[in-house]
Amino acid sequence: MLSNLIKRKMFTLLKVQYSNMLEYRVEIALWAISGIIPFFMLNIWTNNNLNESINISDVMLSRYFLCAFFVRQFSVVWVVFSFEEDSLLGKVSPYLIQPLIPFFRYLAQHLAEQITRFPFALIIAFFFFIFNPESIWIPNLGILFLSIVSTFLSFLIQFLIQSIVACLCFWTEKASSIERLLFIPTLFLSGLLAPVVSFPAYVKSWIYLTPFPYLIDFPANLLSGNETNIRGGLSMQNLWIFLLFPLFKKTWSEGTKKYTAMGS
Amino acid sequence: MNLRKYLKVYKKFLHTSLASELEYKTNILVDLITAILSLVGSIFLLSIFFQNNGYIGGWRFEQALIIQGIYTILNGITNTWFNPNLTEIVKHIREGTLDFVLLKPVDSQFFFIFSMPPSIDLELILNLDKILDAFSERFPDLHIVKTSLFKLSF
Repeated sequence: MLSNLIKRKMFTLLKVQYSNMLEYRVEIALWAISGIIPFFMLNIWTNNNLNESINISDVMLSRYFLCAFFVRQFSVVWVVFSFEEDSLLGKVSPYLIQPLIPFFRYLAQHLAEQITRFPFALIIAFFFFIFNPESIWIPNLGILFLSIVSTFLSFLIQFLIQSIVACLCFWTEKASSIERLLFIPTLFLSGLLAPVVSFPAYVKSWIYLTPFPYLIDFPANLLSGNETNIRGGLSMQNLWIFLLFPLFKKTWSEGTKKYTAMGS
Repeated sequence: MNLRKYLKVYKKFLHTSLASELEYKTNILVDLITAILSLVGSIFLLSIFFQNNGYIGGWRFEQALIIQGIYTILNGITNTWFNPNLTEIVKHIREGTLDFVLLKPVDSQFFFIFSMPPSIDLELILNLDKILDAFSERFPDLHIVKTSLFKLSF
């Protein structure tokens, strides 16, 4: 009964948000294009033969960065910015009255955006293959499935972290600066700009204990067929979700208790 | 266009936007830490590129640092004066509040360019320091300029 209700609500939310996103499809296409940094990075790596020192061939590296692009496309999260705006403008209050945690709304928003983004990402990948025909490959179905799962898990980890940060809006009203702070290590340590294997040893010794390499490096390695510890990576992703989820629930319930309707 | 009037209006804009930025003090503090970290991050990335190579495209590490520094300064300038206002225009159009701006007795373009905060950009200061550092390796005199500049800014 309960799960059925959530399913129906989720379905409706998804439908609404999907049509909303389709309305702004040009903007989403631009967002998709803005995510091509990994390709620039690929150029730096291969044009200067930097990859020789880390024992990854040109082809494997180009696959890696293409996959990093894809993983990033489907794990972009902006919940804290939406929530902060809604909270500052007093829009959270009507959401709180509804018999649904508002974060389901944001979750549906993100998922709908990913569906809208999918064709654009495919087009960009198509152009990538035109310029790099030697890097075309077809991952087998099992690996494809696992990497979709791990990309989704990466999305969930980031969504949970940002939702926890978003809940801080109940205390500080402006929490997006904390998100911008967290974005810096995400950008530099997740493997978007350089694969984690290339990091110096003093970073590699502790980085695998943080969530960052599991956000992009792990799914991208998995999908591109580079060497990676599949079981270890997936279990670390799950571990982080299990750690973050109770924390999110806690901050959410504390925050709603603390909340005094802003702006309304 | 009356220059003195607009200077006065700009002063008011500066005042109000600084005041509204300073309303969220922790926000500013966190932003400062972010600026420092992002600088550390980009140097980290550069050091990865250079860890096994002395040169990339004919550039030494120190030279790449200068480019990085100049880039971040320009980026800081756009982020400070242009970006916040540009995104604001979009919001005004979508929410229908553009009318209020058009009705104001100042030039609308002027309003859009200057009404938003020159958010405090620590990155700018940090980068000046870095660039001068890199230059001073070659021109020792610059080190004196740098230290005196730093004394000025504090």
